[in-house]
Amino acid sequence: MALHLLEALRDSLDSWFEQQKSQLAEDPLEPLPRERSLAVQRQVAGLNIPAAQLTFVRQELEEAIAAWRSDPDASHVLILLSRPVDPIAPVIEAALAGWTAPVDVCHTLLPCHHRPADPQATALMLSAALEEPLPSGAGDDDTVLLCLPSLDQCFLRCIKGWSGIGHLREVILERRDRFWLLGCNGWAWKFLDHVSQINSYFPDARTLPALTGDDLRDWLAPVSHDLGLGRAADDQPNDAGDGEHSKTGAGETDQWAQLADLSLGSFRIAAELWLGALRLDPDSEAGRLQQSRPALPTLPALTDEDRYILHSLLIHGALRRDHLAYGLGLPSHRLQPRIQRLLGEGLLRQSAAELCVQPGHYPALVKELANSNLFTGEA
Amino acid sequence: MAWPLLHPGLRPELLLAAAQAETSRQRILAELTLWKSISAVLAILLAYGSIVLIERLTVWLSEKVARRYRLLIKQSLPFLKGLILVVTVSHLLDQFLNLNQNNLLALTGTLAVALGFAFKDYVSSIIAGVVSLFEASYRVGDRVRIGDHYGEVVGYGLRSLQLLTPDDDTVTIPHNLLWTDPIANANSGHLEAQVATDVYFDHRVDVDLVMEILYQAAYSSQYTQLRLPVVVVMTEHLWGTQFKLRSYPIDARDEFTYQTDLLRRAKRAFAQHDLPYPYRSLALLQQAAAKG
Repeated sequence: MALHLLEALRDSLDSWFEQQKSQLAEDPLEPLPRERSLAVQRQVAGLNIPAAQLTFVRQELEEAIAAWRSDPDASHVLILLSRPVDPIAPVIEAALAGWTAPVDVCHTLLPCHHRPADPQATALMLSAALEEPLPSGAGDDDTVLLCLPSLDQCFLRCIKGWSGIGHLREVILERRDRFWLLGCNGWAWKFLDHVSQINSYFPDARTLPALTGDDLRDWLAPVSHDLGLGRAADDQPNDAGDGEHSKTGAGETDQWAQLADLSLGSFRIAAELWLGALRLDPDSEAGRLQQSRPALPTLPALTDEDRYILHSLLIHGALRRDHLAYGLGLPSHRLQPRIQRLLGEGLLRQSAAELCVQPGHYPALVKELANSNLFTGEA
Repeated sequence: MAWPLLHPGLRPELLLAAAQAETSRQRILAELTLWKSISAVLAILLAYGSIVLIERLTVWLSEKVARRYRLLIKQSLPFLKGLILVVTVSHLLDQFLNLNQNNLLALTGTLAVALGFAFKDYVSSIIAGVVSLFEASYRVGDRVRIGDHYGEVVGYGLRSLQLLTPDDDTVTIPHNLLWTDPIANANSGHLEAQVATDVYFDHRVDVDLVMEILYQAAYSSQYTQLRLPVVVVMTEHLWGTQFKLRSYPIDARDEFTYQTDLLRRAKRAFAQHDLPYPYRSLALLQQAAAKG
């Protein structure tokens, strides 16, 4: 315990010194204006899922289906886990979309990734999806892949909130003639394991691999090319010679490796940190951009109530305000000011009436919640 | 003065100096000088200042750091205070007393008699405080029940400890109660402390449903430490059935908020199922029978 405390103190001092250093250093570059930052953000949001993750999902799926078809005792379920700030559903959907599955029928359950307005209807929604008939044309002897890309939407942390998961478990264990692909947020999976020991039934859940610096560079290449970031390094005056050039190249590789390290290998976190590291060169007339060293944003001071809100959002991935209030058992009028403060601090963001944690804050938040004795989905 | 027959080599003045030196060694109190007095006053002031500073610093720091380190910092307070006291008292004793073997025996004998009569309880409390420091019957940050008082140990002094009750009262309890009174410690240096929540129903109630609701109430509460077990137990009474939900909050400080949250969640679900509560008249009858 004392060692942990010393490590925590050392980490805090390190981050404090880093901040002071960056404030003291005279940075000739300027942060991006808001309009330009939003434009780059839209470009990044339009990027495809990183190829490394698609390859991983397809490979795992191929191996699992092959094993299931050849061995009757092999598992007929593949569970893929991701971080709450890296929704798994788009990854699974993209992997299945551009791929010829080694099955006759591929059917997605609950393709709309939102909970019903009435929290008590969550279990009914899942039961109804499980009773849905297969698409027309599917024969009795066909091999069927049933995909539930977002298990997070099938439960809420309240009384009877995860009864649908129990039903799903029973159906999956009963229907060995179908192959099941489930995607889930790692925190939700851990919660479900605490409350219904789901890991005992499906022990082989796989976590999406962490992306390396090279993976991230390749993924962001279209945007950085558009912004002229690669060209900026090439256009440097060449009088410094090859040594200087190779030093610049090594520094760039180091920055991508650092980005991968800070973002824990998550592409959503990396995208946010990368955007934060883009700087505008004020001397350049064309408004040339440069990539500075990425850094994690500072986590604002949190109250216990804030921590419970953030923990609940990380377990559920994304939540409507009324569902969050219902799950926490707090009246809405007490919760709203806290949510507004967290939105203002940039810890939360709201999209399509749902709240979720801002990916850039995730690494610091995991440490904060673990130090507050709350469980986390990280190893 | 007539000197007895002496060895020819021994001179009378040397013998006199030796006798004086012997007398000063036998004296318990050392020679008192102005410098020694100033140094003693400074040492006492320094010790007092250090204790006040350490007390404030540990309280401030323990509330600033992450929750899991709070108790570790709080628990160091009595040891740091004890260390300052031991160093200061040793320094003062060294300054003002001639502590040879004979003097030490004489001093302890005198002190034993004096303290035995005048400060018996005070010394008993100090000794109990030191014993408790190593026995760890209670530490700063623990939630304890001593006699009729329940609360968090917020202060640990030489003679007594301070309990902060749920009603925000500070109760000072001498350490020497350790010799005679039972001390119930809810968390013993851990962040979590078990909370027992009782609910009561009529005998006709669907016990499986009640137990399932209670389990789910505990698992769904954001205050519950899911790494620790959740258990529901039942007891039968003449007037009805008692269910006890045993679970742990993430932070023992949330004990009452947690219990309220559990009851609110459970009662909302009980109301949906219209579960029958026990008859009040039967409960009163049993109470009367127990008293009689």
